[in-house]
Amino acid sequence: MAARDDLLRRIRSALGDARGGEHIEEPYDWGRARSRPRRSPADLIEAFEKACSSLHAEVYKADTDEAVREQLLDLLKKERIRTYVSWRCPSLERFGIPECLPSRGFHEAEAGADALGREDGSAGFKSAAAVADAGITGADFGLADTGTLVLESGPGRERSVSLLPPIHVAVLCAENLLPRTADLLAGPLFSWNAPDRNAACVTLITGSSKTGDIEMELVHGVHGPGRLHVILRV
Amino acid sequence: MDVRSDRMRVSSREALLDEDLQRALGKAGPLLQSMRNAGMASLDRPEALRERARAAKREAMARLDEMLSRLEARVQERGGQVHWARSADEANRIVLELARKHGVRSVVKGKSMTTEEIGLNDALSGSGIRVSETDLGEFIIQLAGEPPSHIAAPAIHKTRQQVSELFARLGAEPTDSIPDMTRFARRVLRERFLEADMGVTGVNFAVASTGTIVLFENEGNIRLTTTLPRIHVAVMGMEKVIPTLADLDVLLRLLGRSATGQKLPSYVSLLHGPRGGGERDGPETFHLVILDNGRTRILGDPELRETLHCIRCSACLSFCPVYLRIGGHAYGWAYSGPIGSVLTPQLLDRGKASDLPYACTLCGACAEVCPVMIDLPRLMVALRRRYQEAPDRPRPAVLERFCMGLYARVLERPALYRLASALARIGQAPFRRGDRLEHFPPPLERWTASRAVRPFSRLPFHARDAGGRAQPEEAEDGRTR
Repeated sequence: MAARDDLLRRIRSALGDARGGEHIEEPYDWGRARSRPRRSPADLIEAFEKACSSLHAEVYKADTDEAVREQLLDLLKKERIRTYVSWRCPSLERFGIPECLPSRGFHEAEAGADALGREDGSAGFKSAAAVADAGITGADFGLADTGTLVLESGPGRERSVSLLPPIHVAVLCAENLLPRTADLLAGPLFSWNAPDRNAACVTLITGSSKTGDIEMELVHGVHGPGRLHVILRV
Repeated sequence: MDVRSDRMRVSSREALLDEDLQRALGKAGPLLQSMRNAGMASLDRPEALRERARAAKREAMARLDEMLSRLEARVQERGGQVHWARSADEANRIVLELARKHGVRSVVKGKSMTTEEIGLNDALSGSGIRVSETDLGEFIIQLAGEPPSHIAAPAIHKTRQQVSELFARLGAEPTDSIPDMTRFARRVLRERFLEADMGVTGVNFAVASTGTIVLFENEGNIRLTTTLPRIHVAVMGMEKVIPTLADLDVLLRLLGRSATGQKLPSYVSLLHGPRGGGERDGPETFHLVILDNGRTRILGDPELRETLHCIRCSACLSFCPVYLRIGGHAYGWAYSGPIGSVLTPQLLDRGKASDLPYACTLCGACAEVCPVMIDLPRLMVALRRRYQEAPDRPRPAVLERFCMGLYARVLERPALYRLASALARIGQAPFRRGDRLEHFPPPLERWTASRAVRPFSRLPFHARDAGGRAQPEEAEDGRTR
């Protein structure tokens, strides 16, 4: 505690009389930052598709729950997927995902021993995700202007699923499309007055994993998925 | 890390002779500039947003004690632990102690200039802990045993051949293919991620009102670092705290665009403590280390305080004509480019970095692109002035003092000035080579040795009319400048 108190004391003495002088009285104008006028669903879908097209992310529209499932099965077949890991949450279960997969020849990746031979539960999941060909998740929200997927962590909503496999397939409902980050941060997901309700990890995914670290040449899939597919339920 | 900022003159000269470096910088500069410009052009009102971003940082600094206390409380509410470090040593001891307590044998790291600043890698490996940098660029320079040469692209100075040779040490087949090299790094590092006990990252922003720790990246290595190991330690300079999510929105829109022109990078992680109940991945414990290491000294200096507003986007590097010639290593420490030139001498003992603020032409490009509008040229001048006023500064040479004294006298007297410039226009003839002056005779030869000195115009500025044109009787002279 000595360091803490010392540091705070140093800050107060560094600021002296100027302390607090810059307080912004006017709260940030969320109204201006959020898009205005309210945009139609069709407009948001179009913007989302356009943003994704320049991000190395494929968007497939599906207009029924059935079509979502068929699109997923199609995709997995086309990508020659054999094993997968998947979120298990209501937003996917409504489409019969991942229950429909085993009967169609796809297998859930097995949790084996991890690299150090530990076989406790936590190591199990990540070792399964590490060997899976594809990860399947829902997406809590989409941001139309940037082509972003918003994923909350939680039980049945592992972070590794959208991260470890080389291919990530996300299912997003068009009704959850928001225009931009301001609409997300000001709105549905975050709560400044009840921060304990925020998910432990909220990830904003915009396109696939990439790097330009060698001679500034763009390469996809350096650490995370090199391929990102979004099935958009319209 | 070692401080080599006192060698700036020597290392700059070496950098200018390094052909690979010159080629890399020559390619990177225009590319980074056009990406940044295109990114900013996609904003409705970029100037208003920059003003708003500056206001957010100002507010955070003006109430920094309150911001940090609130951040601490929020992080603790979410089950995270907060540690305070007055110095680099103290920060390293905190991380080491955590590693010891949890039996950590290997650490994976996300790119973090703050941990470069405190030399955390050396501290950990000195205690027998294996440390792996996992950002592709950082991985490369860790293999090479070098410090980063750019805030956002640490291995910008390496050619593909050099990278291929470094990877060969780890058993890679030699190749010219950058995608192949990248796949090799993915494979090697993936194993280390799965084995690691502790993940260490920096912090891009920490939101006081919600306790949100924000991390930016394109590769996914930071997500792996914060997802797979059982312990996550985030080390933040105390100036990274911002008041609210509204401020975060503003800065989110500026950071990616300023760095690489991206509206958002591939991944933005918004973290609240360790994994929640029922979660099967994410760290079991989360630690936030809040670092001073000289920052309160800068905070207490109203003239220089805005140095702390920096969000490490690297736009000032991309646009700096000096950085784009000498590269990052010449600055001798974690921070390079214009921000390095003002931050390094303030964080370090002045004597170790006193050349840095002079490595600047005061062209102002950095201030024009800075997303939080830091007036970098003003800070350079302020630091130079302090060095000149310092009682212990080295006295300039007799000749320099004489010439500067003479120059001052001439400038004070318009008639004398006109006479002197008329004489100079005649006297310069023997030294003129096209549109520059070369090879002044001793003792003035040093002035032309490394400078492109422009000849005195036949039509001086004060002889022109207000529109900058030649006055009628001299209008036939085409050589106006």
